[in-house]
Amino acid sequence: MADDAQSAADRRGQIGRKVRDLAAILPLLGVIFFASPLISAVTGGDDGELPNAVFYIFAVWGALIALAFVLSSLLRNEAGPE
Amino acid sequence: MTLSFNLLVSICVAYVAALFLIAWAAERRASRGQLGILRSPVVYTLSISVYCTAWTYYGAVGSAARNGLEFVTIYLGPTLVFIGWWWFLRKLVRVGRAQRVTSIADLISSRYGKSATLAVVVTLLAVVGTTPYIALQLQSLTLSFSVFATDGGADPGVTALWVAVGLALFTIIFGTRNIDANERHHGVVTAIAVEAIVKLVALIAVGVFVVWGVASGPGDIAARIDPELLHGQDVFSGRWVTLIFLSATAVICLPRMFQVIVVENSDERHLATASWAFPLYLFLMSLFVLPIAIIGLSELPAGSNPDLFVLTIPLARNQEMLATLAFLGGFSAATSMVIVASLALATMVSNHIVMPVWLRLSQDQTPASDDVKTLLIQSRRISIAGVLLLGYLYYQVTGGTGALASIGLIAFLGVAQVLPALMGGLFWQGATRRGALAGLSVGFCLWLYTSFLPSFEGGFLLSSSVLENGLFGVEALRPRALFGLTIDDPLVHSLIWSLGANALVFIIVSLSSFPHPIERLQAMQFIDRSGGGARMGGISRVTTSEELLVLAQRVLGRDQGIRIFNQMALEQGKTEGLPNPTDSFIQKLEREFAGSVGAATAHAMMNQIASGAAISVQDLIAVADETAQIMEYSARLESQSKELAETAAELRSANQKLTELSDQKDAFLSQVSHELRTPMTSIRSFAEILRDSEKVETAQRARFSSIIHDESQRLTRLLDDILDLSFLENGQIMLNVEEVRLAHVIDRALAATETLQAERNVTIIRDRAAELTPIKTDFDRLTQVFINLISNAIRHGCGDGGEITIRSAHVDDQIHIDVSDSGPGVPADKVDLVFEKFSRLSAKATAGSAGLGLPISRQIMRNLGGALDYLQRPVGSTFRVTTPIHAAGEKAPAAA
Repeated sequence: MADDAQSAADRRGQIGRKVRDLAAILPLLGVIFFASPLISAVTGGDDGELPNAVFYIFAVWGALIALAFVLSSLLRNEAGPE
Repeated sequence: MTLSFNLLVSICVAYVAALFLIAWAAERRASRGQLGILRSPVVYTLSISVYCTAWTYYGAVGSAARNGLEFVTIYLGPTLVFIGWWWFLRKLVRVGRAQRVTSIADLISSRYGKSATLAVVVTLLAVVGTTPYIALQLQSLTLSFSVFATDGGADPGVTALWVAVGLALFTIIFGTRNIDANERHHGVVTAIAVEAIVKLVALIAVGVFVVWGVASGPGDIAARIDPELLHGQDVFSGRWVTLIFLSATAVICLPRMFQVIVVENSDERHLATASWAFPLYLFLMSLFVLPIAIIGLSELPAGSNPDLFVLTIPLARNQEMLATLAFLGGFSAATSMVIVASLALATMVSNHIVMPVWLRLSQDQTPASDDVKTLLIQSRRISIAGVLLLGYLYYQVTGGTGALASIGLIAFLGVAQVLPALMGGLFWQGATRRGALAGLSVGFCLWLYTSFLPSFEGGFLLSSSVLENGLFGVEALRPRALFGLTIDDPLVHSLIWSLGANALVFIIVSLSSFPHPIERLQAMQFIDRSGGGARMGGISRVTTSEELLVLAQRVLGRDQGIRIFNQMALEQGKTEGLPNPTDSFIQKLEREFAGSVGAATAHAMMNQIASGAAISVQDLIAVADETAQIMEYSARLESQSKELAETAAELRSANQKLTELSDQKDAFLSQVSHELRTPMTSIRSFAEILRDSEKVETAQRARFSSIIHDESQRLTRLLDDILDLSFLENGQIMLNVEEVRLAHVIDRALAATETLQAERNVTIIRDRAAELTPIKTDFDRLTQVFINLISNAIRHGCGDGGEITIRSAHVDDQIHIDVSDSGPGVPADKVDLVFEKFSRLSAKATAGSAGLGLPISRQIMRNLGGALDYLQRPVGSTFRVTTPIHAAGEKAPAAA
């Protein structure tokens, strides 16, 4: 029983760590999607049409906000004074 | 257009009055301690939306109409910063709260050793960078007024002036009502949050009207896209990345953003909410920008100002209510920005420029209560008015030229110059004050030259010819193509030069200079994960509580000062009187001051009342903490090497003891063999004579035989002695303890040496009566000792007719018996050798003495629980026998 509790606590610690890592990586994801040539590749560059680009940007934006929402609810309690 | 200009002004006044009421109610609630909703994450997030100014409100549509998607970059940068709150904003807020910073200039100054110079530079930069921004708000407000002012209206300049005056009044009334210790303005923040809702609702209302009122849904919008916009150029470009970077920087570095994000933050967890809620706000703000731009381009007559589509589309459709709402949205965007920006700038100007100057001027004046507080409020009010005046002047000089967006971007780039010093300060321990100062100055100058001054298009300082041909006609100095670097976009060009040089100089100078101790102390607190605070604080020094109280009342006001002192006294466990001026108390007080006047000024004030060294031993110790790990490591090494050294010393001493023992053993063996050799030699030679010579006379033969016999006896005696000594030394001797009288022992000894006495004609002097004490001892062994001593005394101590004195004395449980002779005594340098085995002190040593008598006697006395010592006397030699009266018998038998 004690082992189970221990491994559960261990798992929680591991998950917490992954959440923090993801939170640190999130802006990097944003940079890759928004401020790298990836954006041209997806929207078709010079030949692309405006609606494509608009759709791409707002979709990624919305996804990032959703991710940030999930992460912030997970991290909220850790943000207090240490 | 039936909406009259006067009606519009009335609506604005009513709106401002409503704001006023909200702010006032919020202040009241806050002062009663009912913070509740005022400190909720929602209000915090909404107040951050002060990022969306009239520029983004009106200008985004204009930008979309001109450049398609480019407007999104202004929102994407902040989005990236906020979704990355965990690693950057969290640290920024935490450090800001721990250090109680009042502005971005305060933060930078505080990090680099509370440098006043740095604070002034950042303040100047912020003022210069924000002025165009404020001008921009005035411009967009007058533009929006002019849309309605078809019935004559007013001169744009006059409108701008009135707007500026009105905003200044509002800010002064709510921003400087009191100098809060932590520099939070609940009233203003709540008003800003309400304005944020107005902005969003207005823009979404216009957007919904445009999509479903003017057009017939999203599909219609897509169909109406201008062919020029449809095949837009590649979205990704140098300018695209530059704009995202600049807007991301601006959301951190702009004085007003720093104010709402860091200074007004009351709970770190609010950031968690803002991390998704603020990007969501921006998302909603930009959702309808493109549709409005597209409909504006297709519906309104060519040549209409796209910056005003938000207003002109509803007006063209006679939706006056909607147009008024849209106007109010723009109005609220502008007012909120101006209020917060001027408040933040006024704080910086009064804390970092006015206060230090005043401090220097009033150094010798006697302090009066409340005077600093009054001065702070006054200087803040004047600063607010000054900042708005500057904005107004900029607006007048530029004459409202240029697109809104380009002025805003110039301002962004200006404040972005703080970024290297800020990032370096938070993450790089090696960043120094000199580096920050050099980087900032270089970046600031290059920004002025390549971006700010050219924005006047020749109207201010730099003439058109300079812009065209370079300074002094030098081609390389053209502001928009510095050193021949030709980039089409002047913004990208300026960014590369100013920020690039800034960062490079910052790094190089930091690497080549060394920080002051106080700088290192601050650097540790900033870079430390926890944001510093608990472990150590700023500078502390010796002063009295009375002096501190006087100062505190000057800075914080009479009541606040006393309240803080009472609270701290309670914390120290004192129920009455002033708190002790401990280090932690002084640090706390300095932070309280910093909350009002900024770190550098608070520090200077503390310095002013302090006497003696600027840096205490504790500070130096704290600085030394930086190397604590290294020290601990080296201490561990040191203790290990000490242990090793100790072990080595032990081994060495053990080795030495062994060597000595071995030497002693060798010496003993060689002495023994020497002693054995002498009698052996004579036995052998006489035996040879007897064997080889046949005509030895009978008399001679008898003599030789007796010599052989005597020598053999001597050998036996010697071997007996050695054996005896060995047993004695090992304590393996059987003692026959009985009650005897000392007199009998000495009688027996004297009797045994009678022949010797007679030979030398020696007189024995003794007091037999004193020797009658009964003692418990081994009679034979004790007698042996006395025989030895007496015969030694006769042999070495006396010539013919000498005297031997035997005296006994009762001391405690012991009897001391001194045996003295009248001879030459033992030479001082040989005293140590008296009890050594085989040592013969005089040349007169006679045959038969192997030099074991005294060592054996001493061992006997030790076995008997007593002692045998040689006493140094002026004449003759004296041996003292010490023997116990009672316990000797029980102690002695260590026999196996």
